[in-house]
Amino acid sequence: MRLLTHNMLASNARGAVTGYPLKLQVVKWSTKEAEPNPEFLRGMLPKIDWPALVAATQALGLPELLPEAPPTDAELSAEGAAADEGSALRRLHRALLEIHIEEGALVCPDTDRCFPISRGVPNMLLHEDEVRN
Amino acid sequence: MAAAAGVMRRSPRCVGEFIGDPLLGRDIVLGLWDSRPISRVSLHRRPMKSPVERRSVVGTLGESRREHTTDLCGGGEERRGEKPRRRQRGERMPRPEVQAPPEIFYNESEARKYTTSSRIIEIQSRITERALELLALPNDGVPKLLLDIGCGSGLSGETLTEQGHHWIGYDISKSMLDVALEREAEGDLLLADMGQGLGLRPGVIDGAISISAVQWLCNADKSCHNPRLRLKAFFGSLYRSLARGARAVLQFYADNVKQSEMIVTAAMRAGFAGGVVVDWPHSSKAKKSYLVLTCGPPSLNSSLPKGKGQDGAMCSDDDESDDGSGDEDGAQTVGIYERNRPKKRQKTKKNGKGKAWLLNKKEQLRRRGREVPADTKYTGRKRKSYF
Repeated sequence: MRLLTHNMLASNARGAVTGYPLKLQVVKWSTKEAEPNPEFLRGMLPKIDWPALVAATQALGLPELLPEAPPTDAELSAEGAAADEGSALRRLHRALLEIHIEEGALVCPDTDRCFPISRGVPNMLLHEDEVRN
Repeated sequence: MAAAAGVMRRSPRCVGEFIGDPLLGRDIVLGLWDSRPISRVSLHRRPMKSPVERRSVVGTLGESRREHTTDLCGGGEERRGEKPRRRQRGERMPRPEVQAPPEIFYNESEARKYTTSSRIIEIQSRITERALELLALPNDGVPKLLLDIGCGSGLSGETLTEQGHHWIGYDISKSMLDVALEREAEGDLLLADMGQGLGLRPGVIDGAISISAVQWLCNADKSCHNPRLRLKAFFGSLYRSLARGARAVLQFYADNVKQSEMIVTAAMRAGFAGGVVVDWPHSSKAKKSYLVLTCGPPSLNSSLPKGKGQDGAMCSDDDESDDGSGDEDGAQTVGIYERNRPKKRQKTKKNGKGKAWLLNKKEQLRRRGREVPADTKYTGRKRKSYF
């Protein structure tokens, strides 16, 4: 599971108010190279919950990867940003699309319900008494 | 069989007691000879020639056709003839939805088919391409974040990846997701039940597709399942997670019109605009229904696209379509008898309408110039009980 998905995912369990952001507990993670796409990242940026993304990278033990404030549009579309290893674009790309969480768990902030992640797939199935409706 | 069924309709009794029509005599006489209680005779012996089959439509709210057949009489001559029947040519394979819940039906061997069967792979990718076409994403070359609900082994996701999109796949079957991991699906996979809601932040997804998954929601596989609530949870969470103006294309196989209506109504209640696009409506096998939904207020963009082959054009591989399926369908739905059918409610009150009402009525008719018997001391009088 990439951090992009983690950023979108919320807990669905009964009792969760927003269920967001899910706390990340990482046992194992890996990096898979992917082609950066500036247009996609620019389109995604307004939808990203930045504090949640920063918290996720900190949980991974990469506090220097992302700055406190989200990068501006100009920073992302700067000339040669895709090629430059340390640019804001490449960092965002790495955080969102290249880091894969393999083993660990997601914890609901409201109910402390734990959703285990195994082989990169979080198990979001709820028991019947946890279903909201 | 026909006689027995007729009896059932006329004189509903409780299950144990039923052995046949007393007027026919035969079964009752057997019961009397045998001095045992009738209910036991009917269950342990074979007093009747024809088996009594009890069919009831289960599946909540009568929407899904799931037939449970119980033979109460322990078999007869005709029973022997009809047991383990092989499916004949042209007969329809039962839909997976009526066989088992999805997390059980899609076991390892079933999931394996999705990597080995080239036919399944081809159909899946063809449906996905059509769904993407109906999704009508802006053609600007920018990748989008899409949902694939019921992604299974990631076959549909592969088509999405080919188009350059990022996707998040939902599936309830672990075996199918294992196959997806083996195939190295590019999207992120989630083991989740769509009937419990998608659990996404609002307004973040650019579009959603679903291939042959939504009809599963119409089944109640556990006692805690309520199809209407599950459909509501699914469409509600889908509506919330989609960005404004985004579309969702959900291909589904409805078992009957009611089921299809239930799905569409649930989608509309959630706030979606749109409707069903049917491709190849005249073919029984190539026919595919797509629920095309638009998030947000109706606009020019939300007008429904046309289905393929609606103007009588035939699909290329139409020769495999079978015409017998319609009759088969009819045969399957006939023969649903309720044993404990409630009696038709009598509208009249116990004591009738009364003398005042009768006199008033006669007066009315007289005013209209009709011939009415004169009022006497007998008018509206209660009849003697032996009448």
